[in-house]
Amino acid sequence: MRAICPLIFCLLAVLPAAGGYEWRTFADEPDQLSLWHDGRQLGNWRISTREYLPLLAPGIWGDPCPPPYPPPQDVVAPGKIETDGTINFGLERSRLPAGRHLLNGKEVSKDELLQALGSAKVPDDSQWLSLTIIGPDGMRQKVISDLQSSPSLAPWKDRLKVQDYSPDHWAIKDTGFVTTGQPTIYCQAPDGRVLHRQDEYRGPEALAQVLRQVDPQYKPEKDPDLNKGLAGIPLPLLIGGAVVLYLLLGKDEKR
Amino acid sequence: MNQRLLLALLVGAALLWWYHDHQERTRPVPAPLAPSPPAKPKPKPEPKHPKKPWGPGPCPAERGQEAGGRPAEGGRVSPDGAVELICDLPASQRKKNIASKGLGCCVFRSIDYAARWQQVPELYDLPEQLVQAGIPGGGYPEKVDEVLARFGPAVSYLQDTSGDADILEAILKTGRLPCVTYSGHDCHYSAGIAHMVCLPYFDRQTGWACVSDNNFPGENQFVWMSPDEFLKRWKGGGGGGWVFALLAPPPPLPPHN
Repeated sequence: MRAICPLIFCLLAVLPAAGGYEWRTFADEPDQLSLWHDGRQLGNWRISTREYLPLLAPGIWGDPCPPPYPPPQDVVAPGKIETDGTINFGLERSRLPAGRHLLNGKEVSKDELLQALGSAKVPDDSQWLSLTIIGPDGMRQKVISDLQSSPSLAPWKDRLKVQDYSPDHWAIKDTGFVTTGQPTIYCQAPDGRVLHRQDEYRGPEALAQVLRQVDPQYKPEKDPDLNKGLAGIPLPLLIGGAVVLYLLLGKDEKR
Repeated sequence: MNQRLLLALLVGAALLWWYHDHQERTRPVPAPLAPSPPAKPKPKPEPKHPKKPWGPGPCPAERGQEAGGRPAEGGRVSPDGAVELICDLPASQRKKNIASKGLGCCVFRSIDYAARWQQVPELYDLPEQLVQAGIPGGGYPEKVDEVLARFGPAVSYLQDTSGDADILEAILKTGRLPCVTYSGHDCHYSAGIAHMVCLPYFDRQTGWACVSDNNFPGENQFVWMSPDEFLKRWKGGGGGGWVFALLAPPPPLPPHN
């Protein structure tokens, strides 16, 4: 009797039936359910692959197909079996409009969409420098705030890929970044090469100085100097100019 | 007067010469250009239709068949070892899909993955936020607009339903993680499905695409396939080739000298 128990009770649990269909579990095969109708086995459902194989004749299985009766919700969750046999994990297929390009919810052209990624016309942001700030919240916030509002850092506002992380964040923790600075600030080339690292924040001016040195697009000779007026003219040139004016316009004593 | 004019001209010329020379000597020296980054090594050419692409785990639905670029389960490196994921979000950050009010949240779980990759904290655990707010699962572009307006009003993102593979490559080229519709028929689903997953790798030049499925978020449960096989599954099953991407920057590359 003990020997035949597993055979007798291999159908351990019987799931609720409807319309004559019922799903049954196997005691020795937790990954499968069998579908029964009026006392006849119709096929099996494999939970791990979410597939149904019809039983055509004893020992002969057909190709995978949608089951004639939906499997219990808990074995397809969070999916739902639709009428065409598709298991839906959360798409409203009837509400997917074809051929639209949307940017923040507004319809745009393909070019505009690509432009938003920096992949067309405008400089590709994959070639921008990365500025990464790693440290406690308040310290990171100070740098971020300066990047957004300091006039010294304004030239780089839209030309840097800026990210900030707490020292235990997965993105930087085990990838070779120094995380002990107060805060640590990295400036990296697009290929990840470190161009500059500092382990404390020395203010917006010092950071701007660093960025000027590492930014390949920076041309110091193009710097405007708004303080320069007459004061910007060298003294010898001023004196010389005055001498020339005197010689040209001064009274001739001989006359 | 002629003598004075001559003298003035001489002094003026001397001044001009001095000024020009002074400018030359005091001209700021431009900062040295940063050396251009070394060219990325080209991945080894690999057959577009590898004979045995199966990953560590067999694909039960296709056991015994020749794969020919068809889906194969694997890790963060392609089955032939040629390429690595572009967006390598660790398994610890990839939660499983859940349902909200009986409807799956694959769209919002995929956005959760992208948010974690690109550090947009407002959208972390988006499916759980939907559950808490009593919003049912099930996603489509307009609903994504509504949900993002509510949970991340300052977040910038794009959506595209044109099925244009250029857009997938553009998103990945900039290191961002695309969320894409996916119709199954792979190692994990023998049947057709309606689903959104993430696409941490897609490159028609290297001949590989890789899917990160929020129903199978394990360390080695990525599904690698040829780009053509992926494109069929992206546009098939009623998904129509929908892609969503956040515009926030990706994490920095590991530092090196």
